[in-house]
Amino acid sequence: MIAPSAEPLVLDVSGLTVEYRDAVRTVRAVTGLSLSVARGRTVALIGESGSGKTTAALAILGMLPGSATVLSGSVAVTPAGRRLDLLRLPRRELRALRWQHIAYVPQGSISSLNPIQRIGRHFQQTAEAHALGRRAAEARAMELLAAVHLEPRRIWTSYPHELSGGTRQRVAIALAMLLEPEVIVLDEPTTALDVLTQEAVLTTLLELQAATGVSYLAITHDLSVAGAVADEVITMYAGRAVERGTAEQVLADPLHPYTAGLLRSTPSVDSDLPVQSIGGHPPSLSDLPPGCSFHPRCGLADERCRSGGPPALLPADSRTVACHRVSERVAAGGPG
Amino acid sequence: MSELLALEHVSKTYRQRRRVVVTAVDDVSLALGPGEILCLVGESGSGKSTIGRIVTGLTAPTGGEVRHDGRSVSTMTRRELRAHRLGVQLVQQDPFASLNPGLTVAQTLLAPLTRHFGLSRAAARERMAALLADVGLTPPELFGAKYPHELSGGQRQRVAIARSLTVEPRVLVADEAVSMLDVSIRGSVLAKLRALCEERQVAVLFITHDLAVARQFGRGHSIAVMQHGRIVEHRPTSDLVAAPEHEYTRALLAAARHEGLRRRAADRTTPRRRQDEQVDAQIGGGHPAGTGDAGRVQ
Amino acid sequence: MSAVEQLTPPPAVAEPGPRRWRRVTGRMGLGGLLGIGGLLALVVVSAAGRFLTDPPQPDIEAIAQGPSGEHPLGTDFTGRDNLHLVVRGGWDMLELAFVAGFLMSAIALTAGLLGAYVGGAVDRIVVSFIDLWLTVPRFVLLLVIASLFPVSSTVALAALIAVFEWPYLARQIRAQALSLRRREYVEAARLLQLRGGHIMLRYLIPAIGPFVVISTIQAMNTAIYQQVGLAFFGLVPLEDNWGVLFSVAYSQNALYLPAAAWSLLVPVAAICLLQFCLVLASRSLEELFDPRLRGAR
Repeated sequence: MIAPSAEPLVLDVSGLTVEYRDAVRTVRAVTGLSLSVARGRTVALIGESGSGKTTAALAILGMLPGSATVLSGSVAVTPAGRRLDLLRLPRRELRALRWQHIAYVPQGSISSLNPIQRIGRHFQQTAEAHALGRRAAEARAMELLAAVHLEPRRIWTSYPHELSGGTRQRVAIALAMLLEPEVIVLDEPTTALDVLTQEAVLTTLLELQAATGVSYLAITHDLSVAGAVADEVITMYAGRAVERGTAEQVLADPLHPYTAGLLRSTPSVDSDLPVQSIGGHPPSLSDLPPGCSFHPRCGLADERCRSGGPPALLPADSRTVACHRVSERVAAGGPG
Repeated sequence: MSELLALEHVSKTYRQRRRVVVTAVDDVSLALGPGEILCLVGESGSGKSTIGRIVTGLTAPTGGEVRHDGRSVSTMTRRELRAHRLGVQLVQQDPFASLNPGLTVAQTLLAPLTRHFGLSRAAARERMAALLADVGLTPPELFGAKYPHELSGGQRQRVAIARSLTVEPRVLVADEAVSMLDVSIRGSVLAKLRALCEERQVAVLFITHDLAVARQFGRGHSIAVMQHGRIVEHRPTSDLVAAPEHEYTRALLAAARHEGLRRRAADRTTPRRRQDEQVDAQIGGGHPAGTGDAGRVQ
Repeated sequence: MSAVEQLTPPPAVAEPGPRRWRRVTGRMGLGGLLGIGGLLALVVVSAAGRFLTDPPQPDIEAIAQGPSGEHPLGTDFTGRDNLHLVVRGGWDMLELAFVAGFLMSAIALTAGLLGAYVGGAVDRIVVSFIDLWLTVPRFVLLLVIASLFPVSSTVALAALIAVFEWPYLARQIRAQALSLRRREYVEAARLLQLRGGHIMLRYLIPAIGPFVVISTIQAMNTAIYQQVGLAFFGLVPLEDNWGVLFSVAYSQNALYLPAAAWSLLVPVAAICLLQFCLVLASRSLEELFDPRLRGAR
């Protein structure tokens, strides 16, 4: 198990299960996801298409589309010492908490900024909605824009389309910080950006964290991004967390065959060895294989993986892993 | 190495509105021999995709010349030009947009086979089955009957590769061919593409924004780095990665290794419990680059 | 999965008839079913009226009457039965709408695709002509032409309307075709040098077809408007169709005689019904063809 952090938890999700329904079928996108983020820490949810990572983030933010239902679970936050479950909060309180306690930097900030409003107006509107004075808001926005390495005055009067992708992402980050949230959900924070810009944006995120103690929940498919910014990493596959531990543990010495496969699939500029990929392809959530969802692509799979229930997330080697074979090995006390 | 396809001092400018001229490609020269792989690496707007379009003939250059087998494309007759163009095929980025949604895999692959080789229906089917097996879509009968929406992204991209190989091209342009695929399947698609091209002695212009992918795909061949429409460094893959000469290449490599972030991560491994000090630690310089466990992650 | 199953074509094609049909009807919704059902009913009733009944005879005993047991929708100024007239007058209306709609789409498709695919000077000529034609007050010109060269048949009238109304549609088709040309799979087909006919038939028309079908229905609506307008000025062959019935009733001052108003209202209601069905049908087809919905199957 991960050693409990000395810091208080700012986000504590447990047993989150989300389903999408339409006329034709029901799809379970997230099953029994639990995670917690301590103050000043970064947790990364890693997964590929259909892993449920984005649905999980939207559920945590209370921003699921109408076709989705949260079947069970809780999303606990503790603003000013009060423990609240976001999933059971009246709409109005949720909206207030959304920026003050938990903020969001959506994927591809071009769509999150209103194209016909200057950047300054975005800050003002967010401030107005939360009863932050105009003066105070502007002063704080200027500070934040400077903190994300932009020229506050110039940016304040610009329109979104006049800014580059990296600059827009910085603006979105500054905007998320406006009401001093405890935790920010970053959805693929660098996916649409160029390599050099990616690096600069990630650096800025870490600087902000060091300066303010804000926590991040980062959603990403990019292992190297997770490795560079996260303290804790959770690998998701087919809607379930399959491995969870510190970034060092999981990414340097993965136990779950899927995490290990992902790492072997990721090319490195410093290695000539051909990457290996995982056979097959990610399953469709509407048509999951029985047993462990990963078994059709897994070299270790045996009869129990194919026919038994999905493996539970169990402690193994100072982290948790959902794999029959790994649990077996740990129980037998064998080497990794 | 004998020259198959070459760009000589090629430029491409666009006229935006009246006086504004945008230079997408600025005096680029490169050459491909049979079976050779050239990885073109650059960020968005560097002109790498425009080069790909010029090589395939989808876009005409505004300056310089394109040579095929030593002959300038501009002096070719219509007939020669068609033959040249057919020899240069493209694998596109988006596996969801690159296949006709209304055609089965078999229909997609049979059309070029029957069009260009005068094959009988049965012979064309045989060739198609062989191609599907080559790209790893077996059994071919099963995949031939599928529509694109019934395939996963990786399978579609394999179909796109098979389609580009139907006409037996001598040059293949792969424009971000795996960047939209899930990480866990990229490697197999890349390996397949490389093996097929090696087998057939097809030259590949491999366009990507990702140096690590270029390193993989271009091992034993060369990488050209583009910035602002120009090639700033073009050298054998292992040399370029081991000892980059241009500053921009060095910056790209550092970013790919997350060197700056590593340093910070190393700082952070000192326990955070000393909260009072965290503000002072915000600008973490001076520490050696982390070579700990996190360093093994790429 | 057995080998036999593997070889069966995918469900989009081989799905058993009834199930597939139910899915199509399900996606069209109630409005679409009403629209298409209504159109079919109109066609059947109008055909029966036209080919199975004789023209209604004037009856000087029953001029311009309101509804009664004998004449459920009243009579017109010559004592003819309104119900009989409206049933008989539908065929001509439908014929005109269909012929004009199809001609309009055909001209627009030809011009639009020509401009988009040949490009260069041809495209410039097509675009200039369309723009020029769109600035002309077409209905007035149509009136003038129709009065100078009296049209003698419904088909001729439909052709005339089509010639006047195609440019707007052509411009939309050209825009669609231009965006299609840059789609990745079309570019791939061009690089593979597939036959022009093949690209047209298997790549372009399937992508542009739904739009053309919907526009054709809308073109039918336009044709109906134009025809009613021309009828109002007495410039159409006197076929006793709904437009003519309406304008004749109007010219006989039916507006001012409460009992005769029925001869005015009945054709107007029929025209409205037809247009309503056309709009419902085109809207539901739009939903049916929506690529986002198609992708979800």
